[in-house]
Amino acid sequence: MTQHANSPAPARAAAPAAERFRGDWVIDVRNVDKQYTGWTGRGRVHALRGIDMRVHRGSVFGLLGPNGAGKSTLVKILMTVIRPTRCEGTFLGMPVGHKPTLRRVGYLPEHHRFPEYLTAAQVLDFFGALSDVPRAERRRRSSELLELVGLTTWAGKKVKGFSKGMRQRLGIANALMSDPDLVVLDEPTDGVDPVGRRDIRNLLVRLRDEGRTVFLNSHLLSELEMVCDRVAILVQGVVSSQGTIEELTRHSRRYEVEVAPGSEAATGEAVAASGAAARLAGGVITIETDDAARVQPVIDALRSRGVVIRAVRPVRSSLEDLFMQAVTDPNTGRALAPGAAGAARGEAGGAPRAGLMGEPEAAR
Amino acid sequence: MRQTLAIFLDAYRELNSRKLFWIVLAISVAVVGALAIPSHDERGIVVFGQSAEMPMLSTKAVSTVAFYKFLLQWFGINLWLAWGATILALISTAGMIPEMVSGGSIELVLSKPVSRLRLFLTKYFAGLMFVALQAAVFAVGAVLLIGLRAGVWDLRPFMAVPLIVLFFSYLFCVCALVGMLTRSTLLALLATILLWLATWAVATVENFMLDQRLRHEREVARLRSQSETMRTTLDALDRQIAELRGADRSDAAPEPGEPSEPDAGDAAAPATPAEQAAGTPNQPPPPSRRPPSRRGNRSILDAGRQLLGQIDAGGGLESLERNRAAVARQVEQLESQLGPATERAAGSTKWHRRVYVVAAVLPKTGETKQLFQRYVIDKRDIEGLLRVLMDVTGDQDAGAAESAIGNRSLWWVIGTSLAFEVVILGVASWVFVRRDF
Repeated sequence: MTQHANSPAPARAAAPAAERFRGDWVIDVRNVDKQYTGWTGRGRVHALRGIDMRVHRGSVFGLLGPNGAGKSTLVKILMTVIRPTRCEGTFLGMPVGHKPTLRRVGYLPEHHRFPEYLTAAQVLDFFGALSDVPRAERRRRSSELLELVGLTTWAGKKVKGFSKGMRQRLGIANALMSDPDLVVLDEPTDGVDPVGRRDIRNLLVRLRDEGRTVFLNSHLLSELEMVCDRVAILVQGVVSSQGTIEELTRHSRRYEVEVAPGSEAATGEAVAASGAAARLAGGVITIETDDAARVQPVIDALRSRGVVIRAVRPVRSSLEDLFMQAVTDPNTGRALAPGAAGAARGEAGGAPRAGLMGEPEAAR
Repeated sequence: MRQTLAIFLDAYRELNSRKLFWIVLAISVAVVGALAIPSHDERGIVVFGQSAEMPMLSTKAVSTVAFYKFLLQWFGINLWLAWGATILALISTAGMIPEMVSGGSIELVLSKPVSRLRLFLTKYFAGLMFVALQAAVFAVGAVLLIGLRAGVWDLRPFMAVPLIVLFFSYLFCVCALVGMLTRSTLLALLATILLWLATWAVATVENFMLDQRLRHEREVARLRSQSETMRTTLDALDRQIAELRGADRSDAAPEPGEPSEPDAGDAAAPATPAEQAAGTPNQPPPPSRRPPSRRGNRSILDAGRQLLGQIDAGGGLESLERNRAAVARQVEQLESQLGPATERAAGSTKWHRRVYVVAAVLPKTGETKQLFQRYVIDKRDIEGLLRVLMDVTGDQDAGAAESAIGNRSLWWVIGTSLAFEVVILGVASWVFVRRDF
């Protein structure tokens, strides 16, 4: 895909403007609830417990969460693969489950399996036809998309000979086949090499620039951090936190002052004398503030005692830090158990009871 | 429509990718080709110039067109399409639904703007394409075979296409249901074969029970008819004896109006209840069936005539009374046989009805494929074959059950089978529409 990443994106279909989604919120769902029940009525699992989520048109939205958090369940509900126990709100302006709306959605499922007897071009043609794309347009977009994902020379080859990465590229091309307003990608970089991952990132950005909305579901936090405008962290069936990365990390910003070794005593005195909310550990002074002015007294105190300052840097939590914080039980310090069943029973290790958007269990 | 066509095209590509599809197709062509080798003559069948005794298929029994049609029915349809090719078709198509609903595949299709019901049913009908194509190739071959070998261009063998597709669909619906529920090709295949065996077993038992019932009912009818005939003879003898005694006493001339010749035995035995149940009410029994009581009645009538002749010839009162006593013993003997025979008939009727009820709810695989014979082969050829069969076996009831089953209504054969299929497909569709994947 490398050599094609900067090639022109396939032209958007000349669909009438009225057919394009013009609303602000591509996804605007509330109280999404899903309980799985066994054949016998036993073994009930509460996979989603009142998810509220809004995704703005033209943005890249990332959905994070540990295994069993309910990410795929939520995506499958939106894609009508799973029927929700309860779901309010809209999906591209229509109720969730409205089949014709799916014409405007491209979807890459996790662990997807294309029919192995089809060639790459036939895969795009078949699924394009299922999306009701006219034949002429299927042909045109098929060749354009295969070029985009670097599979042009493989167009006539059967999928059974494809590597994992090639299948993933084909899956992304397939998700774009219907010229969608919304692209839902479940683990798009799974099995893709680093170069391919970079290409996918670039593609996502370009899709956003074209005005499409991208909904990403991934474990690769560093990649999400690079491309996502907004993220939501899902833990045990509940949205733990949701917002822009800027919003989510605002409260964790701090400054770190690194001093030269051999001046521990003077450094300790300087920190105490500065009166700032700072702590010293391993030659690094951490000041819990995002205001640079509040760092200056510490620097002054250090300099007045002849302490050599090696570096002063602003620091904020990474998405990974946020994620780990969200999935760690504050009482035990251990990772929360996967799935939502335990949380539903109120066991230790249950999900957080409230998030930025998610309502507490008791409130529902 | 675009989506439906896409699913059918995809099914064709799937079949096309399987070697088995082409192997089965080649065997179908080979089977029709092999059926072109034999011909028939006055003795029977001729293969590579060697004539073999087979009166049923001789030129005396059936026409040349019917000869090839019977071969197509017995070997092409009953043996190949409805057994060998069906097993191979099931092996080829049993995985279609489980593969569609497997993880990683089902999300790709369910996330498309196609309703679940349409998706499932289209996939199901696309699965029938395997046998439809096989049967179409077979039908083309059959038309060519009859045209080239018998010189008659008859398009009726194309009936094989809908009949074989129907036959296969009865099985494939179960395959689709189990495959969808379990996502397992193996379980789907096993369940389908079990159903197939069950329908075959029930049909075989029903056929046997019907045969028994018809034989027993015909036996009762025969005994009843013979008994009535003998009683008529007895009455005639009684009247003659009384007249002779009266003449002796009064020496008067006999009353005008001789006793008429007993004719009760000439009437054909009425259709038995089983025959009425086996066929439609408005369909008469097969015309080839000979009334079973006629031969027995005729001998008794002959005996009656002989007795009356003796009377006319002046055999004397004593001789007449001896004969009367002999006839009376025969009547007694026949009536003593009638009771157990009636019980046997009632028993076999009861058991046949029970099996009939079970058979009613199951698909009629065997009877559906036999419809080819009904609609493609001329009736007189079927009658000719049955006539020779009865003559050869000496069994007047030979083929009675088959004939009765062959005369069952389309509603019974296809209607009840389609009802079964609709129920199974309805359950499968309902689960598919409601299920989380």
